[in-house]
Amino acid sequence: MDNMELDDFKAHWNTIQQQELKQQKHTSETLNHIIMNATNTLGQLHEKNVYWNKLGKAICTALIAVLLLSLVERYFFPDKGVAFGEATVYVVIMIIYALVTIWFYNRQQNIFTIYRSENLKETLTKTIAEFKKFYMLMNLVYLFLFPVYYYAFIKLFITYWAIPTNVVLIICGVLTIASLIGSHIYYKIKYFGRIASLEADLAELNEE
Amino acid sequence: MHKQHFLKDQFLKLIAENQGLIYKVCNMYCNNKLDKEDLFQDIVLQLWRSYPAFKGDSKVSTWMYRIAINNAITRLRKETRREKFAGLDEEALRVAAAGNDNVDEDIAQMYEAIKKLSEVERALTMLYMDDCSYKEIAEILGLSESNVGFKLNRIKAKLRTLINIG
Repeated sequence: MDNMELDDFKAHWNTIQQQELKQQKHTSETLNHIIMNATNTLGQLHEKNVYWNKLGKAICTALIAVLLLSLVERYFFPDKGVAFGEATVYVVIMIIYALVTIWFYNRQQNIFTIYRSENLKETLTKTIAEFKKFYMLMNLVYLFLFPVYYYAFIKLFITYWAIPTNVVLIICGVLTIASLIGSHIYYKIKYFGRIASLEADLAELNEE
Repeated sequence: MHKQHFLKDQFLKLIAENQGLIYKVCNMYCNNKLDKEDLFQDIVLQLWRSYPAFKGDSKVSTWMYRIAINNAITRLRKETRREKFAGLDEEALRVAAAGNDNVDEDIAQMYEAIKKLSEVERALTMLYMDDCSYKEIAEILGLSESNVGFKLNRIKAKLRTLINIG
């Protein structure tokens, strides 16, 4: 007997799907709950990442608060550590670092959801391009931001140890390289495989 | 506020009527119940986001398929390898085969073969089996109509080979 062809299978497809749906189907109450849940979280789209998102934002907010307190301390106790004017510059640098980090985090979360109402080919093309652009921009920004941030951090908080400037610069360089490598490993594990898979899908769609 | 409420009611009705379509996509791209529920909720959320912009330029099913398939393929999953969808439920198999054991086995074989297709091929197969026209499939996937036909013929040949090997 001949094997089943896709067109023969098609005749059974709807029966299978209806049968499967019977077991999976949501009642109007649960469906309502899912939709309400979904619509209520619209403002904070990524509910699965809410915990980390909130934690990240809380850490950055706490950092900004600590920095501002440190600035106030230096204003009232000018003898402690660096001068107020210099400390202000370092605090501003660290706040910029925190804000840039929050921005990149939110941007990264949106890349995989912003083009989903277009056709698959366009969605894949734009998602891949957007991710690559994001990754390049992020590395470029942090290449300059990390050393400045580490320099400001050392100067502002490690005041009890008089490190010569050239040693501070070397430490900043080493920390920057380590941070960029760490970030690359994180992205490689979390995103590169998925991007490669999307590229394979796109190549398949582009085949004539 | 009243408009928003009306929109939500309309949307709820639409999802209730078409949840079968969303589940077809979930069954095609997920490998367990939890993952299916996750994807179902993701798709509903994305549909709700783009619902206000949906002006009825295309069929409701085209719009829903487009968002559901895009979501299933581009979402970030915990597993980075390509996932396979879960095996066919035995009850569904039995009902579809109407008690005929040979047909039963053939359906299971075909389902297994479809599991081995790529993500894009699975999307094409699903749309074809749901009787979407070539024009509609082309619109959802961003292909030309002639390319849809060409790819479908290739998929049929691939499935034939997979079944013969398996």
